[in-house]
Amino acid sequence: MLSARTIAEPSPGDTVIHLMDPRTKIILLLCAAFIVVALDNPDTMLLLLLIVLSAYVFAKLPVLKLKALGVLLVLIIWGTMYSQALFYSQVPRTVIFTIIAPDAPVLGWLTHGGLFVYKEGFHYGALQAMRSATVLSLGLLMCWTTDPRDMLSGLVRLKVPYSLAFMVVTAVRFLPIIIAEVATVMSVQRLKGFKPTKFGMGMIKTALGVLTPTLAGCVRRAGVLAVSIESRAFRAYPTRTYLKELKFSNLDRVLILTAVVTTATIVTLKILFNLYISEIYYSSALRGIYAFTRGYL
Amino acid sequence: MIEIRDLWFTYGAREGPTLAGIDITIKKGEFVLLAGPTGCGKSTLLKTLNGIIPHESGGELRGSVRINGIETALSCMMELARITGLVFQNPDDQIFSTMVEDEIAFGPENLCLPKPEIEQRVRESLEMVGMSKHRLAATGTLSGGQKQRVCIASMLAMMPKILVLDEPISQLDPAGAAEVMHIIRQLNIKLGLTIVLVEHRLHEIAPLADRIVLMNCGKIVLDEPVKRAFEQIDVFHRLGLRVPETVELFHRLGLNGQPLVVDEAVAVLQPMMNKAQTTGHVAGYADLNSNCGSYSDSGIKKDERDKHSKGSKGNTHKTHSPLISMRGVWSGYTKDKMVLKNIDLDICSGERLAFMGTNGSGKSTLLLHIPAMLKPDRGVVEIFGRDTHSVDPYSLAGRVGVVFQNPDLMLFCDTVEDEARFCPVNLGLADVEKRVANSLEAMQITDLRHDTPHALSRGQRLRTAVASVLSMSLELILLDEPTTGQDRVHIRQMMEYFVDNASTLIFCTHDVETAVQYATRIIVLRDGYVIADGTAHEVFMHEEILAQASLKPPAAMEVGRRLGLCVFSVDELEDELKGEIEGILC
Repeated sequence: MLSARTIAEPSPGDTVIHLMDPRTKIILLLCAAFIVVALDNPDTMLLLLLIVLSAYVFAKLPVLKLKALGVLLVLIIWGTMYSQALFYSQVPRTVIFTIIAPDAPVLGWLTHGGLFVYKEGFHYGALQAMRSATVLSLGLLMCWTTDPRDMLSGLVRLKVPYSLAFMVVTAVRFLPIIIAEVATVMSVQRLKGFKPTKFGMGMIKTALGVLTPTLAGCVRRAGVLAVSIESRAFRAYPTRTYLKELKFSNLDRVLILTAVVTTATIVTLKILFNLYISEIYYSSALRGIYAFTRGYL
Repeated sequence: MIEIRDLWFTYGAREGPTLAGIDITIKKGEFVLLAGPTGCGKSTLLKTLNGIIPHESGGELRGSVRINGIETALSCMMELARITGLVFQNPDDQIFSTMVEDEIAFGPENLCLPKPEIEQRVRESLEMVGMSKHRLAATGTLSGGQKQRVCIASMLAMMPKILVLDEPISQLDPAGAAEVMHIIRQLNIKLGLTIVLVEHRLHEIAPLADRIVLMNCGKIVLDEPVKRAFEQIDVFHRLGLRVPETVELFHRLGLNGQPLVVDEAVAVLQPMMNKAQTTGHVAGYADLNSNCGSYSDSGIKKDERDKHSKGSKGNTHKTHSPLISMRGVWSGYTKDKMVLKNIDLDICSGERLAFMGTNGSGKSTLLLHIPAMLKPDRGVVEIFGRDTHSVDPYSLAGRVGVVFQNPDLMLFCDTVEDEARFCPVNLGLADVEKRVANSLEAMQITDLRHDTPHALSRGQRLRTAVASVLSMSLELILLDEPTTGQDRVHIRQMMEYFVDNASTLIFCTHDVETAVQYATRIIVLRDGYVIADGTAHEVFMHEEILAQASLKPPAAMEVGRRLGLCVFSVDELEDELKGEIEGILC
């Protein structure tokens, strides 16, 4: 019950990562999202993932959170690689392992020509996995090192509408409480002699049993919260003032500049390279760039 | 300030009006205490005061509500919200910021006030509730009382003219409740804020309020200044409301006057006692007096406490072996902060145990160690003779019933009846229907059997949760805060059921009167240590222990103590005094 909350709530601290401006973190996350989509080179992608993971070392997060991250990463990476290895459909592809032979009775026909593990699929899966893993790790790092209030100010300063930002942040803030409640409901049910079943109709019944009280609680809480903030003139005017101002440090400026420039460069290079590959635009002056992009991006 | 004329309100889905012809005028600066049995329409009435009804809620409204001269139906929510500040029962549902400052600044920020003014309002609001030191504190680290003060401050920052509070202290421990009540009173006196407060704990609020309004079935049944309200004590009794014990005592003794606080009562009784003493009416009075004296003088030396608890253990050991035994239990959620410290405890069959202490003293944690839901870091907890380290809490289903602090999390069926049926069906017990009927009967909710649990009032939901575990054949019942938000009658019914059935009961509570009346043994915790363990008589004689745990003795006991009598309830005090008073009056 408590570990669930520990994982979901941010851990306060005063490390470099914690002190970073929330806007910087949000911009970095956005840049990372662009970069992972643009990149195709597994080595560079791995480098990016390692950079993100090394930030965790600076943030000095509790072991429980690191464990949670580890489990998530292993699941994502292994899951993506394995499923891509099985269902890789492009050619050329190299079979490294046969699960169901094409001439196996019934199964061979059912699977439409057998089931194989492809080498290229593994590679492709690894790339995809690193994409998700990078964004996930960075996103979690951001959530775990930023107080929701700062996140709210950050979003608003980045021109996200206040009501929207407020809703997002408040939802995130109440999430740990809801997780704790779900855990309580589940133990209550088992204390009442209920044995949750994992399959079939039983599963639906279990889920409903957990949902009813949790949802009822949420609705009730949301009602109180709504009245409470309404009576404090929430959205009374289209704008509002802010008591606290955010301030960029030099580190923030450097990071944002680096991130934006890098992202812009990578995206531009990839676009130029793709124009060349698809034979739309070619310039001999750009040959160095084409070589670099092919080799490293 | 508030003028309500012939107000009728019906919720869309319900038959019959929730408010049926309310007429009330509240003047500026008045402190009105609104009370009544659960489901009487109090909360609905509050909602009409800041425009939630009719602006945000479905339903049919007839009549007129004028706030500060504005007809609410013709105004908008935003305008009304600035006149009326609302504070609810549970501070955790109202606070959404992670830092106190943000929470207070939220309202003024929304009003687009200039920064210096926001700054000033934040500072002043925090000052008014005595929380200036905590301006930059994380909201999660505050105590319940402090959180509720933050909620009040966040409303004050809007500079309302009326403060409406819906059971603001029902979820707080006695110390927190006292803090909050003190603040509310200050606001009323110093700022001249009009206060409308709903609360079950009449006996605690009554001395502070100017006027009491009682509601029943959507109607106002009593509306009197506090001084005169208790002249109609039978109305309070009929509605099952608690009256201050001192008032109850005077009523039973047939004395004139309705003293609200101990001092007043003692001032009247003391001369009578003196007179009785001189005329020799009280036999053995001096003995009693010296007895009490020795108790309270002896302080709280550890060895003496041990003697007490060992004494009581010795008695019970003869007949039973303990159901639960704890030896040197240490436990904490994180390694560096222990919540339970060196707990030694034996609980025998048939005992009714109350765990008391401030919030955060370890009551709930201790309670959860009993059914093996939590396991100690050091030491041994044995339940039914087995070490909890090797017990799966779920294997105890059917033998141990646990009711958590928030009953809502225990209700997941479609009807109240199904809720009670859930356990016996799952455990494959015989006589399911009989069990269901019995448990519903015991909690007095048979008439609600076909209702949806989550549509019931809080008190009814709690009783449903209790009924849902009672339908098993329990050897042990654990309740976390069973008295929160309950009417007096229902607490009594519930507790008397346990007494009649000689159930082994362990409950956490802040409610001193309930503990004194129904617990055979009280354990007081402070900072994870057991600081007192014994019968109500033994525990409540030590003023120092009470002070350490921020517990206030029940008024009847306090009156008795001042008069030099060892009594714990109104009944006992009545018995002690009756003869004397009658003697004098004759």
